[in-house]
Amino acid sequence: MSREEIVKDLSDRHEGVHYCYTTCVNNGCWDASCILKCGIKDDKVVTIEADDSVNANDAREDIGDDAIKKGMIQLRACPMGHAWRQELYAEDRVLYPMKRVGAKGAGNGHFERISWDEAISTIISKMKGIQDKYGQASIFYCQYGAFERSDFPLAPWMDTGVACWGDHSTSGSAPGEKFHLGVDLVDVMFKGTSQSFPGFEAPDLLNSDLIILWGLDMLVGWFGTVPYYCKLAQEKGAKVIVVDPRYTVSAEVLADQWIPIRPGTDVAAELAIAYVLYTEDLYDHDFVNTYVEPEGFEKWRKYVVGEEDGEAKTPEWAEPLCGIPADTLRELARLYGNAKAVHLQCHYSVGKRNRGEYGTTAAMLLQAMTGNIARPGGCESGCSLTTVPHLTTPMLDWGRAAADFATPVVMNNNKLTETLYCRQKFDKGEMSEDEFRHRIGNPPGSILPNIRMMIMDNNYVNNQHDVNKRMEGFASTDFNWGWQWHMGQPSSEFLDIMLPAPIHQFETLDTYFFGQERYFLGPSGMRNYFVFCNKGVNPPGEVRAKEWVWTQIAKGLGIGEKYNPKLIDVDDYKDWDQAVLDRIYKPAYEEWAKDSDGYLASIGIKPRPWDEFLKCPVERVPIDEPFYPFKNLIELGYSPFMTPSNKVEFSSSFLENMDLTETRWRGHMDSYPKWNVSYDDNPVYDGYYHPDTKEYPLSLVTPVTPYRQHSANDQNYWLRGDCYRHAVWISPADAQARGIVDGDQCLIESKTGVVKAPAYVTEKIIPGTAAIHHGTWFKPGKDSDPRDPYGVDENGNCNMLLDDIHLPHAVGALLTAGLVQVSKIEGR
Amino acid sequence: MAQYGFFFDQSRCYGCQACSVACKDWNDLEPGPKKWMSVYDWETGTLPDVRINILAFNCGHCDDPACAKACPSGAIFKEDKYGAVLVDEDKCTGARKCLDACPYGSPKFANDNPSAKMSKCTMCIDRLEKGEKPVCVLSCPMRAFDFGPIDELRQKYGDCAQLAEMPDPKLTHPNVVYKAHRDRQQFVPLDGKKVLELQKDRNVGQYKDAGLDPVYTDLKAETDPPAGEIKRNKLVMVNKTAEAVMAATSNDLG
Repeated sequence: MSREEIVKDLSDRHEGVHYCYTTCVNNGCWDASCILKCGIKDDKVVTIEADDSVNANDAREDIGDDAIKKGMIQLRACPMGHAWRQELYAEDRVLYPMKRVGAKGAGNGHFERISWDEAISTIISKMKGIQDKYGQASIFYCQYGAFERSDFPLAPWMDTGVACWGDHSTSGSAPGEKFHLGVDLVDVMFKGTSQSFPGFEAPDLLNSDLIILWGLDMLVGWFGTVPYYCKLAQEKGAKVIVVDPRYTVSAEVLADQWIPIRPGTDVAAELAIAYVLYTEDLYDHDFVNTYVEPEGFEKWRKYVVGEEDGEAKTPEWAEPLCGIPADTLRELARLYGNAKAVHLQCHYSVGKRNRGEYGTTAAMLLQAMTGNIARPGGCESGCSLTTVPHLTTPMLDWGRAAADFATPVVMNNNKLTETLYCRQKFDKGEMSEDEFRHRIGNPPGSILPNIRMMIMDNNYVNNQHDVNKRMEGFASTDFNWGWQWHMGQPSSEFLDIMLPAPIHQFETLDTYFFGQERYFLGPSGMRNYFVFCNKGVNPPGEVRAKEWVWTQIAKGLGIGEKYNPKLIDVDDYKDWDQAVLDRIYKPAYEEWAKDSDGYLASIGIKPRPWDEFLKCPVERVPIDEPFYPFKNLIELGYSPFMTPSNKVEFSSSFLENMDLTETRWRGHMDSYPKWNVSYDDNPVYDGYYHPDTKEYPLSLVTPVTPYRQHSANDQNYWLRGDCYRHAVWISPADAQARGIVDGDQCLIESKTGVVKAPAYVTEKIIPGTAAIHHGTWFKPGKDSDPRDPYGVDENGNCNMLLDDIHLPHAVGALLTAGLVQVSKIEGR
Repeated sequence: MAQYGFFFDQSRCYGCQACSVACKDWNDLEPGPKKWMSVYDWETGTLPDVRINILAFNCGHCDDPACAKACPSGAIFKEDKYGAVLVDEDKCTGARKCLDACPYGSPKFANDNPSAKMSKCTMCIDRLEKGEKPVCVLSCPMRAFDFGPIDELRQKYGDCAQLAEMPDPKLTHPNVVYKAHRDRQQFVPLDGKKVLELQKDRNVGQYKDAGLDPVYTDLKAETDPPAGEIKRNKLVMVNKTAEAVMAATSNDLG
């Protein structure tokens, strides 16, 4: 072939493509609403390129300091963003409605193809039957009951559904925020009753002179513009330090120094830092005088310096507990106390473990002590979401009827497994009502859940702690149905009817997770753009839009007019998405584009005609001043801290005055962060000092990965195998003690489960700690073990190994840590 | 003729492989060892002075391409407009002499079958002809790449053409420019030896009489692991089998 022939050969598959833009965000991406440019030909996606809606064809995006500060950059995707064709055109995609024949659970029963008519009529009759028989809190929609909502689309008119308080993501920092800062995401994001926005925008990192990523692998766990700006801040001179049991990619790329720490000892290190700040007077007196409640500040001081319990929480005290030299802690405290603007970010991995809330709370208090909790370059160090958007987006009007019912909040959203388990015990008379209510975080006065139907359009069985117990719970219900992308997805084994799921980012105009509509504005990071995620291609097989399915069900239940009046007449699924576009999305855009109040003009947006907009449906405006935590209120002179005292309460008055066991938290918390708590003499059960380390000596951490959105993409072969090997991380010292070398197949065991995975032996993890990345699919093999009733997992699902115990501590955190043993499987 | 080349900023790369996946997507390459853009990830040092080293390498599009010289059937040539080294798959016989010759392991094969033909990075010449840069460089979430006439890249970024453990650029004169990752700093003192000692015991502080087992007994096991216990601790670019390619170019981040 000549040069020209080679060029032609390479070009052929790209000839005649047209483009469609979307975002592939799933829950698990966090704040990254990346923009994908999809090349489409013959109704198939043929390429997925990076964002080119600004600075097109500019690899380095070296666009000058001013444009960078203003956030005028592309939203480039991670590897998953480019790997979607392996999902869209996977051989194991579910293409038809299926019904389960036989019992639920892996190894029981099998699927048979059915018609859409049979699927929908069965679902309708089962929904009616379960509602009639079991009442209001009997149908659980898995996407997802959180933040005091149910998100079950039909709940407002069916009077059935399960609303939960709490959420998975921010559950390790939410109590600290609420009790000590008076900040509640529910009030900010859903009720609109608070303007205390605790988030920050990525360009604000350029205002930090010290950035401490504490238990945060920002490149992976906060993917998107935030780590990119962290890198730019470092290049411009900010000092970046990572505190983590692992030498993460963020420790290598974003930071210049790594300080290893034993998992679960964060609060001890933070107390030592507080000790130095208090005793060397390194805190921000102006901020403390203005925004901190003085009595609580003094109470925590007394505890920290040892006036309360006779134990000064010095760096020397913390040194052996945390495994960090006292000198290092002392100098870290001094560096921190003397810095001008510190982005200390500490939340998920620290908070989402046994009593981990104290670690995240202490970080918030340190940030308050130093004034960094509400200044340019600072960080709230709690959920650190959300910020005030820089532009408006078109608002959809579905014409839905007002809700006839409010779904009752009956449990904490991380206690679903427990709820299913306890209900069975309760019904058999083996558990008291009081115990049931406590174990699930049932709000006082609320009804008890009696969940008999699961509706799953995700992989909910697989993705949280204690999967074995969870699977048994999901198998215990009367009838489950939902959508799945792939045959063999672990959750499919717990469905009685499985519908073929569209890959909605590309194939329909359905909403995203959490009901998010397709004018997509990122939740945080940078809220200066939105993208309209258009449908690019028709789905394969008999895959149909989910919204069409919901509408058919609503009609069958007699609430179609209330649920979807503008689309009630569209019976043919083939017409559906075009009708959604024409009747919902386009009118919303045109209303927005009228700019009747002149707001868009004032921020420099000149709306394009609809057809022009669709060619590159992105709007982006420059950020004048990036948002820092509570910027909107602080700059107006208002306190953002909506505690009873209207100040940061180092000792929470709520916790001082309430019996927390008779609130929805149902367990205890001390009124300020402590190492030894008043209500439990045991060390944390997932840490280095628990007696169970005799049997399970390794402290397991379960970080997220660049290759799965929770468990989506686990079987994507441009990622699995090509990019990574799923393995258990283990230190050389721990490997040698067990006769393990890298690549050996290992058994990883805990009290709750057994899984298999190869060993990754690395100096990047401290001895005594092991790591397995979150989100692989449970795949039972032939081996049996009493802990794994459906078979021993061959695919290293870390969630099998994690317990779900909260009490006597407060209910609420999504637990992500545990104790394990690792051993070599001989003969492999 | 203009010679084009690639700039890679190691200090920005975390080895996510978005470049490699975007390359597979653009060029419709099946899962497996046809990784025209390969990302190597290896560790050096011992706790706590450990480093992650990453190299994203596609092809040097060398001034003196050893692969072309070695090919018995004349299938590999350097085109004029951009200086891209291309392979004519019609002429390729699968002799793999190119793989023996290239110090960078750039020639790729779908499998170990003797009939498998070589394929490699094309510099996205199909995109260049339309005025678009290669898909890998536009896909990097950390903006670690640049692409352009090599003279301009050298003017902008210097003339480093070799990161630690890479082959000597004098062998083939690749058209690459590198920025190495940064040296570590101690913003606060951290005594590495003490860190290691502190990891040993659980019976500390209030737990001194708890009777817990030590975390480790032999410090040497941590600081001086036997050869072969850690596997991904060096750069191996030349890989002769599919299995070796996959082992050298996948990480443990998933």
